[in-house]
Amino acid sequence: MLSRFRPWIVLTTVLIILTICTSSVSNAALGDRILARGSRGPEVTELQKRLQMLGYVVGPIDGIYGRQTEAGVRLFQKEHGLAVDGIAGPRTISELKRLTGQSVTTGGKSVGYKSSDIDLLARLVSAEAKGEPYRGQVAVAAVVLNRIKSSQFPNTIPDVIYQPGAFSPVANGEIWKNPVSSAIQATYEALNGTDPSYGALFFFNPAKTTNKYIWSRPQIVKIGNHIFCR
Amino acid sequence: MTSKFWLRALGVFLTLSLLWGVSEYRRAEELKIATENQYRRSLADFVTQLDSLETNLAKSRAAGTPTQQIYYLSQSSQQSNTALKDLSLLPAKEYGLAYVDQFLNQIGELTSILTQKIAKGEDLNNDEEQTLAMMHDRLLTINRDVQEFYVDLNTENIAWLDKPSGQASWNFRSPSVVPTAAQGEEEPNKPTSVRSSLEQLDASLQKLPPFTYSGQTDTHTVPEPLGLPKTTVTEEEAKDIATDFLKTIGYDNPKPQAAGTSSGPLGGYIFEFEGVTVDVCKKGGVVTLFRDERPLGLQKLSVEQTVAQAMKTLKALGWNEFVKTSTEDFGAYILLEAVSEEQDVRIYPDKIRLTVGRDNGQITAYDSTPYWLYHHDRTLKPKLTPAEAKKKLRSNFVIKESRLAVISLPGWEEAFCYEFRGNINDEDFLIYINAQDGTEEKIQRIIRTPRGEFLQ
Repeated sequence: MLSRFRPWIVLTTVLIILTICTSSVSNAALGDRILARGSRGPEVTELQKRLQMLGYVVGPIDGIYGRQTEAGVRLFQKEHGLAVDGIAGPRTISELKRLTGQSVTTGGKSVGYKSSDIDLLARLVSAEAKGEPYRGQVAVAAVVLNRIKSSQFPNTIPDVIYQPGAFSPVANGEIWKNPVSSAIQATYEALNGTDPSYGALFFFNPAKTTNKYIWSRPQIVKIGNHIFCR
Repeated sequence: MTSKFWLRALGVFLTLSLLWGVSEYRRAEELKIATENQYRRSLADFVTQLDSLETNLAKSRAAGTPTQQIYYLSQSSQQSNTALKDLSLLPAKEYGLAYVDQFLNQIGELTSILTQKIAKGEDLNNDEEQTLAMMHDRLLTINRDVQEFYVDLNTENIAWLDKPSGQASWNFRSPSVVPTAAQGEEEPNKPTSVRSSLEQLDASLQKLPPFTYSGQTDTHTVPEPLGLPKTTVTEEEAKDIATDFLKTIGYDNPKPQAAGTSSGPLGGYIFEFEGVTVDVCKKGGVVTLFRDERPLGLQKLSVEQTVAQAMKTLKALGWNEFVKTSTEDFGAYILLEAVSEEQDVRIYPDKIRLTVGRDNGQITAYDSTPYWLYHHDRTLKPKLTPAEAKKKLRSNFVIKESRLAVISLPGWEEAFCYEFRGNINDEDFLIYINAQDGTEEKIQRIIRTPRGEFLQ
């Protein structure tokens, strides 16, 4: 009697196993499970990508939740008012997903990230003012935005940043490094209109600059190591 | 035996380094060609755009009907922007060209202002016609000069940048990628590079008088703040103001110390206190900027609770008639904008920005500069009724909210408008109809970003 059912049992078992396997592969989305040190898989890759988008260093995007990814998660948690445990649980993941989501119209149509300018400006801020006080970082972003408004400079963020000779991080390639999280936040604040430089068009580090032209500009304010001038 | 071995090794080594050298040289040559192609393309495009801009500007002055005027003026506006972009891609001295950039920018701005004016059904006045004529005249000269040196470039093989002195000729790296300053101004008669030709042109133009035109967006900010009280304060008085401010927003016994000054229209004293900075304007003795760079703690408040706390703080600081217009949630803190409301009219230019911690609801940044720059007495009596303004909207625009508002226009002009928030094509927009003459002044698209609503 039993022997007649055996092929069915085997087939069903194989099918069930296959279903479980394929579903866990194709549907493994960020947020399905808690990720922690030692986790591997596509969800970890997505976690790393999203953390990187917000300026958290996670090392190579390799789908392995290692020491650097844990450090990135910890810093993200610390800077977002979440309990710092280095584990990507539901709260951490939902906050991360929220902040790295796409924009939508009020009707619900997705219109993309709308962040290409923000990313480029944040890279410049990061390369120019990483380690400076936060308001100094906002001020550097504001200088670029002030240049857009000025008739002496080009009219878009990429045009101002890539203007030949305008910023040293472009000349030496520093701008290609991923921006730090504070630079991204400072960029958002400057884009909102805050300008701690009070309308500056230039800034320089007095300890490193001998350029006569820049020293001749009327100075407005000194923030951290930078002098901002018009 | 050993000497033979070393001789062979040296031979192999020399061959290898020779091969390496040749391949590096080839790569450098390829890079040089790639870079030069980019420059040539930008310059060629610049010359074309400038020429076509000159033609369109001439046509706009000949056009007799609004349709053709609008067409040629808007073409000119776009072409001046493209020409400007091309120019910014050419190898430059430290800060680019001052005059040519500015001139092209001004053509772009003026033609765009005039396009809008004609589109509203108005005619150009004498002054505007004259400014346009002057700009065209000057453009003719620039266009001719640019074409002349373009021919020189193609016939005389001129370099992009002058070789810096001291650079020996054996250095086969592309001179075009060496970011050095050209010395064009010192030899006015014989420019030796494209860059110095452009700089010479720029220098010759700087002697010409600047243009002025109404609706000028050149300065983009008020020359003098409109809202600052008349009094001026000393450093001691400013320190007291900073201390009071800190006490009001929740610091116990703050002891701010002088940490420098700032200059300019909103210049004043800067004070520091345990990671906190407060800027007090010398004129008027008001706090313009405040920032606390403390690390933020655990999220304890919801966005709504945080907003409520922030609005309470604004009231405590004396900003009673302020309403929240937007919030962005960054997790540990929110960014909030509030504007003043006078006689039920929202005054968008009179703005205050805050960032507020979601750990304890205390503000971590405060920016009142827009308010002090733009606040002034305004006449707020609409000529149009709400029903008359509504007639200007598309018939299928479903209005959700409406109110009177003052909005800022390009530059620092303002318009007194009816604000309609409504839905069309399954999207929400804010549409502003001028409350005096019924012009449709501005359209803003509402986008939901991960952080909150955003106007585009």
